[in-house]
Amino acid sequence: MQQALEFLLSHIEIVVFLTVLAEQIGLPIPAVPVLLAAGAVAAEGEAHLAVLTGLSVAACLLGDMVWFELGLHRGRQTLSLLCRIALEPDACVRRTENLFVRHGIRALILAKFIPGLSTLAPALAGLFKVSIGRFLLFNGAGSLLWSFLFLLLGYILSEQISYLAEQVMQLGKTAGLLLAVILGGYVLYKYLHRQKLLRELRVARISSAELKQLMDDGHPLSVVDLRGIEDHVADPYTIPGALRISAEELEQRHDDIPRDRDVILFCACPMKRRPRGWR
Amino acid sequence: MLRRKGITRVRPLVGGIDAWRELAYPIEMDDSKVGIVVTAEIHT
Repeated sequence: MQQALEFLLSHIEIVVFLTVLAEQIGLPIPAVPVLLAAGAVAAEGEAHLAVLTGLSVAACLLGDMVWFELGLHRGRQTLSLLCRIALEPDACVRRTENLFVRHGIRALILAKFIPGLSTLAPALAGLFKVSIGRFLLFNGAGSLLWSFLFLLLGYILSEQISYLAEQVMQLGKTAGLLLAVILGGYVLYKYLHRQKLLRELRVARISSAELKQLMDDGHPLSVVDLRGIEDHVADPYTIPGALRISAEELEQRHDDIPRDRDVILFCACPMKRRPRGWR
Repeated sequence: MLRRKGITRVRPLVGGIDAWRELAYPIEMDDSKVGIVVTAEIHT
C-alpha cells in the first residue's frame, strides 16, 4: 500500500493527466481526490502547480473533444452510448439540459463542477452544433477553473491531506481493500439496477400511433407532460388532456397522477432542442 | 421515482411530443401555469 502510494506520488503529473482523462471520458474514476492530493504534493515542493494545472486542462480538453466530436458527427448514437455508461443517465440528461436552458453556453463552465454532467456537456455541445472556437473557449475556461480550484484547495489543505494519507497508510491493505469493495459494490448495484429498469422501460414504451389508438378507443389513461417551464414558454402546446407536471415537480405532485390506469410520460426530444446562447 | 410512489403502470412515449407532432396528431394550447393540473380526462 505504502509503496503503491509512494509510486503514485512520485509520478503525480502522469497520474493527474491519466485520472482526469479517464474521468472526462466517462469512466467511474473520481479525479477530484487526485487533484487535491496533487495540490498537497505541490505544496511540499515536489511538483509545480502550473504544470499540474496545465496537464489537467490538457486531459480535460482531450477527453471532452472526443465527446464533442462524437456528438457533432454521431448525434443520437452518442447520447445512447453515454446513457449506457452513466449510472444515472435520466437525471443526468435532464439536469444538463436544464443547465443549458438556464445558462446557455456558459453551462459548459458550470457542468465541470457537477458530477456526471462534465462528460455529457461536451457531447450535447456537439449535438447542438456549437462552433469549435466557442466550445474550446468555454470548455477551456471551465477546465482551467475546475483544475486550478481543486489543486489550489489541495495546496492550501496540504497538512490535513498529508495527515489523512498517513492514517490510511497505517491501516494498510485493509483500508484499500475496504474502499475498493465499497466502490465496486456501489457501481455494480447501480449498473444492475439500471439494466433492470431499462429492460422494463423497453417493454413498456408506447409509440405515438399506439397512444392515439388507445385515446380513440376511450382507454382509461393519463398522459403526463414532463417538460419544464422553459419548454412551456417556448412551446405552449401539448397533447390533449395531458397533465402538466415538470420533472422537477414530480416529487411534490405525484399524488395528482391516478394509480388505477396506464400513465404515459413524455418530454421534449433533446436532439431537437437548441437552448438559447448556442452558436 | 414514480415506481417508489406506487405509480407502476408507467409507459414512456417514444420520441416525446416531437414524434406525436410529426404524425400530425392533435395538440392543444395549454394556457395553464405549470404547477396546476389541467384535466385528467382525455378528449380527442
